[in-house]
Amino acid sequence: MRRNGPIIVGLISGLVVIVANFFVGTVMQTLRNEVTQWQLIAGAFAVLVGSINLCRIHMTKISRKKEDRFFSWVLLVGFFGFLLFGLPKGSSSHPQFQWVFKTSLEPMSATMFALLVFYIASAAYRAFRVKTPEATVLLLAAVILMLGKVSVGRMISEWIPQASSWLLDYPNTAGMRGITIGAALGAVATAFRVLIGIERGHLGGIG
Amino acid sequence: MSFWEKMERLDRRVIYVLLIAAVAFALIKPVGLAITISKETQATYDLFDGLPPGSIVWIGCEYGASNITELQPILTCVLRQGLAKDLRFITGGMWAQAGNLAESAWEDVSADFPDKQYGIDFVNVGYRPGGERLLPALVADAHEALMGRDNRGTSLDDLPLMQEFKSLTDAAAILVLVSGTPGEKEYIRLVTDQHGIPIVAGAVSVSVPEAMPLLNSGQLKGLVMGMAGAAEYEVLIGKPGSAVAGMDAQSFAHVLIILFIVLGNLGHIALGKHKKKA
Amino acid sequence: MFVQGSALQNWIIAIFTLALFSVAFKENPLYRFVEHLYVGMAAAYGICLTWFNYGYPVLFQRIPGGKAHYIIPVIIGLMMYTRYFKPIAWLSRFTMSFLLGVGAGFVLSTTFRSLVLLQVTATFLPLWSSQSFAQTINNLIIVCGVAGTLIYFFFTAKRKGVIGVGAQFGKWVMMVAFGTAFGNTVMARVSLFLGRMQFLLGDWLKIIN
Repeated sequence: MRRNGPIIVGLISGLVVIVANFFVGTVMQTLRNEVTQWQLIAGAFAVLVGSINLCRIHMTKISRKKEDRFFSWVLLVGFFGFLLFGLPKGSSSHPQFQWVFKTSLEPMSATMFALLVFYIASAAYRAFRVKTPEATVLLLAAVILMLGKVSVGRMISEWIPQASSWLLDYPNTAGMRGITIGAALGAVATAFRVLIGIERGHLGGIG
Repeated sequence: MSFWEKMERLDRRVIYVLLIAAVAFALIKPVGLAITISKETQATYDLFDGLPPGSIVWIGCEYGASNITELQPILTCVLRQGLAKDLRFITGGMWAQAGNLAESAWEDVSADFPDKQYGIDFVNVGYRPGGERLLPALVADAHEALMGRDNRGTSLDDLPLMQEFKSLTDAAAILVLVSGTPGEKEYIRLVTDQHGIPIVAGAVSVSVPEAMPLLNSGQLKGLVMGMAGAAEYEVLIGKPGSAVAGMDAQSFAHVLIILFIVLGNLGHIALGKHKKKA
Repeated sequence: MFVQGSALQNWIIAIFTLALFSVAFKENPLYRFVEHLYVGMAAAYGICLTWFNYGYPVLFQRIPGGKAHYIIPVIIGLMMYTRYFKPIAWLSRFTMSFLLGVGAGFVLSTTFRSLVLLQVTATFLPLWSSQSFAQTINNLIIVCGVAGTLIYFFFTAKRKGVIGVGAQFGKWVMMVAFGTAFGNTVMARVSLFLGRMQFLLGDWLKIIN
């Protein structure tokens, strides 16, 4: 029951979705629609798991008096503070909620990713070495694209934007299409394995 | 120590300062380099231009604030273009910040369209958890998938626009703003390929290469590529904004990074020869 | 206080932005402060949104309003938290299996057509185009490139003859594809940085319009 019960639940819920395709306009489709709504609700009520783990890790740091526990306090204050502030607002469109979002989360998210430009620039200087013909081709394609996508490429030569466009339209499409097809076949195989219970990674390590 | 040895030991912070200086200079003293419209951006513009007035467009805001610079201008441009043509928009998404970002875009755009009203011309249903599983739920019964309320907590029964939108298939077209997974592939798999709804995408530059096969096969009808595409769209609608303003700086930064690559490799080659001589 | 575009808002945003940027130069306590604050707030933000858009409507509107059967998925979702209690932790597997089962069902019924079949049929291009020689070359690149890329990943086949040539061609096509991906990645990162610089120089310091 502990191992096979969940596998059977997974199989039945997956089959409901698949079989409905063969019985359009019947009770099977209604059942699929209902299961689709159920899984949204179930997923929503399970969302706290990540936050609970986050809080547990940092509360453990604080209780064990680790050296950097001050920052764990900062995280927990930010977490519970935002919850206490945000939940009574009733909707994320509330003006005060929107203000706090635009003042904190929006710039912080944007800046965290903007930091990557420094590492790309540093890597471009220190790490990007054309030691092989393959690396040379990769670099040339990257340089043509980088110049072709901005106005300075057209200033240098008319063929740079054309070459950039051609690279995206043909060789890139061919390579990415092959990867897309391969990844899709892998996803289908994995989904099949999950349904019939061969893939049990999501069931492991508990109880 | 030779010149190339000094260059090889160059502090990474010098590289950072050069990058900041180049970008700041280009922003403060823009050159005004010309922007050419790509065929992919034109196709996106033409799709919305060809929709009859009153058509409902679903905009999937599948991005976070981390990609706001590239995708938010596309959202505001499409809203401006569409509202001027009396198109109607419903925004929502599978990414957490969809609701707030769409709300910001409406705040920016609605000021220029005082005759357009929330609930009639625009509704923001916001973020819904569940990832790609949200899309089949929206196709089956949109009001139920949205639990009967929009992002502001208003009942969908009180919003006139939502009375004509019971399923994602009621949309005349879909724009999906993509920054990763879930993104355009999920919309194509779960919605548009099955129901024949035209779909266009605005993608962050990172996601552009993997969207190209879908564009090539015709599953995507148009693609606005990153900030460059956003700048092109701003030119198309005749309202240059942050994307156009940033393109000169983008050019400068690209040239600088290419210079870094060239210098790094020249140094590597020179040091290799130098070491061989020694 | 909660005025959009106010000086207070701009100063707070600027402090957060500069604190996070400072890590590029040196790891420092201000960066770690803002980083931890961000992680905590982001986690709470997700919970707030889930409560607004699902938790509250389901518990206080849908279930009392005639959809009492929604209590079942609520219980399935809440079973996830049994993982914190060892004797009943195995119950959380039902939640995972249910969610993954539905997801697997949709993947099986939709992925093959959209991402395999339609992509393969889009590759059926004429190897001799009457329009132009350039189009012939382009079609050849697509057809042979897709085939070569797929052949490259058949690691169990010996790299000889047609397989060997196909894999080699696929490798070169993928190098170009990865090159364009790298170029686009650089573009994306620069764009994100530009956005922050536009805020700092424009909204905060008012140096640019």
